[in-house]
Amino acid sequence: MRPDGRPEALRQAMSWLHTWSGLLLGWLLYAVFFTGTLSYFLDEINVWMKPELHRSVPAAPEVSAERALQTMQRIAPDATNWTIELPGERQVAVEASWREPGAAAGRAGIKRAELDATTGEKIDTRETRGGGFLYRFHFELYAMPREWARWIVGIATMAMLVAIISGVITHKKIFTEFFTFRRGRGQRSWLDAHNATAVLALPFHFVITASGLLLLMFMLMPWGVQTAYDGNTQTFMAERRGQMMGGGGPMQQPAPDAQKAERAAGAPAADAPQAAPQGGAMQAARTDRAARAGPPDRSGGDERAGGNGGGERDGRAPRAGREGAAARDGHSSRGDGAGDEGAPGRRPRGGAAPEETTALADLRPMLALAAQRWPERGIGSIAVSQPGTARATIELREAGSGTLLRRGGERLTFDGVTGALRDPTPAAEPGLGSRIFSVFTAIHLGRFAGPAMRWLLFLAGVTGTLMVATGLVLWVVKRLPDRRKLGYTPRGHRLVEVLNVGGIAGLSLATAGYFWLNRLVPASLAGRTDWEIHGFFIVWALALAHTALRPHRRAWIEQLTLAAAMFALLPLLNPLTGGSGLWRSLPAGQWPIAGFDLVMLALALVHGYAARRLTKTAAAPAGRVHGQPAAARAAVGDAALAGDA
Amino acid sequence: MTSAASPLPAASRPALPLARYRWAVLSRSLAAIVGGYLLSASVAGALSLLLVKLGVARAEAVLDATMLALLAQAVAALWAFGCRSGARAWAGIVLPAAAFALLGWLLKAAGAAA
Repeated sequence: MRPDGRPEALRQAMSWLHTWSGLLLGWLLYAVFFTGTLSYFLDEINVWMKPELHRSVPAAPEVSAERALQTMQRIAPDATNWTIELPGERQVAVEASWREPGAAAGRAGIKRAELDATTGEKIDTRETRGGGFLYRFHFELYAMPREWARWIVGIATMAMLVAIISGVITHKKIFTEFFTFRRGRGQRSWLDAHNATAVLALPFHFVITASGLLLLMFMLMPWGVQTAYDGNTQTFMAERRGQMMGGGGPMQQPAPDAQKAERAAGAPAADAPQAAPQGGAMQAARTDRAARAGPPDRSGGDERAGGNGGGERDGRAPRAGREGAAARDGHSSRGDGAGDEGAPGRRPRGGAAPEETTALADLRPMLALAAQRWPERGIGSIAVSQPGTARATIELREAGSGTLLRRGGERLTFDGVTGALRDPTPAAEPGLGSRIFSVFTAIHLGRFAGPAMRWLLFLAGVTGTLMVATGLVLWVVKRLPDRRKLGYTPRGHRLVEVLNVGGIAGLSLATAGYFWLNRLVPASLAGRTDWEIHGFFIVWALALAHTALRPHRRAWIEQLTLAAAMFALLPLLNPLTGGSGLWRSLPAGQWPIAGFDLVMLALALVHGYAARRLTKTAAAPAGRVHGQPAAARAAVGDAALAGDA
Repeated sequence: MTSAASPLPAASRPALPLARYRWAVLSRSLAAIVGGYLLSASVAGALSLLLVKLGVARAEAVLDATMLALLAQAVAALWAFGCRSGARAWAGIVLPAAAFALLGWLLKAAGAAA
């Protein structure tokens, strides 16, 4: 698209498209990338933000499981089900949830508690949304109907896909230039940095963008379901289950996890009820995320984090895909989150006639069998259905998944009274399309990832974040010659500058501020969740205002320096405010806590490095600026910015 | 690139009036976004039915078709801005969209009749 209307080559046209599709939604994409990348450590953030949990240190799974069951028998003897998630690489305490008979339908009926891994005692934690806020923000934004937000993010993701493809076409010498980095050469250096971060993780960028679309696909594009199923999402989801889920011995009856599914499926009352196709798509995403059973890949932490809070808006996704889908379908058909019973009729609804209490079978032989069967990943969680009745079942679920094609690991289902193992039902073979879908979304959600892979995904996410950031800066830098020629800064250029600093450095400040507030707002304060979240946006707004008032370059330096300091001090703030410091968490094997502190130190390094480079080039004379006096003065800071890389 | 990015067309050469340039950008953006979505939707709808007709399991067919439909939207956007002329940009999106819509309608009618 040339303003003079002359014909142009394909590469030029693609370059134009790349520039504008990247810029217009760039700041939103940056925020999505940034918060999404942090969400690879969702569970770690959740644990960190509840320092009360830090005194729970890992114990043998048998010990944790048995103590937890004893506690459940004491605190929830009449519950219709219990779900017990064991501690692991990403969780320091036992996460228990249950539903009382006759409890309200939907999320409201779920009760939750965190139990000490060694003693099984209940731990009272502060009210917080934890990492769930950042995780939700990356695809549902905030303070708007989640369906709108998902559409906005979906459109931005499509723009990202277009920008990636057009960027590759534009960049013909893509692999030669990957090995080229010209330091201190202004625009050239920024271009090299943008190219390097883009090409370095190009397969990741493509997969993460495409899979982001896949996760929202049936909301954005319900027309296949419309024609082939006459819009009956419920049937579609039910049929898809056969291909998407399974693995090991899926239960044919609704598992206790159905209650979680319903929490995921049920739109909170505050949000608009979702229409069926949309619901299906977004719950597919949630199910995916949470279907990753076990410590390396548990999600829905937002729920857990928000467990004490009345204000949290999102459901924890179901751990178990199959049951999740069942509840999803229930939801889709009813459209109001009432699909809490999974497959209705299989399990007595709350308020059924009381029965005699029947003791649960001994857990130890089951645990031994599971430990023998899953020597590598071990047991992730235990689901007890109808405890205390003759129909009780106990399901053990493998931690994590050994395959990209299935959600969650294997399961073993036992009769809750006799302890006999039930026969598993074989799962259907997925087709090619399902395989592609599963593999892409598994990578997006880090479903399969052990610690090393999780760090690798995190680094790839950081690369993507930097790619977006360098692209946004490049837009400004590239236009400096124009600006010098004009002798003034066009308003549009200044707007991009302000949004760049506020959107990039400002988001870092807001995130660091969110973590600080988690520890500074008194733990017992009512409504503290709002203080944390509103604090996040207040800091962000202040950063934007600061950017608008300060010279461009000074704004960058000041905000990056402050962000570096705030991130660097978080590992110190942690032990000072009741958490477990690195010197304690590392020897005790509290990996989630240590991992969070280490990520914060890494973020401090990145921000500090950027601030230092900017300061250094500012001190050096901007020798290449020979422009007209007025313009030169105006642009000198930016030229120095351009000189940096 | 730089020339295209500049809000001001160079005065020295015979340039399109700025307003016309802006209309051209708007037209192609609409082709990419609205036309692209229509194309994508018709691909999703028609291919789902076609794949079912070819014996693919229904759920799998919808999944495959919808994934291809997302690609169609991306390709439409690239096409809309990569074309020499605006008319070609529109034609290259609207005609396939109409073709897929027709195919979908025929398959649906055949399905209803059967």
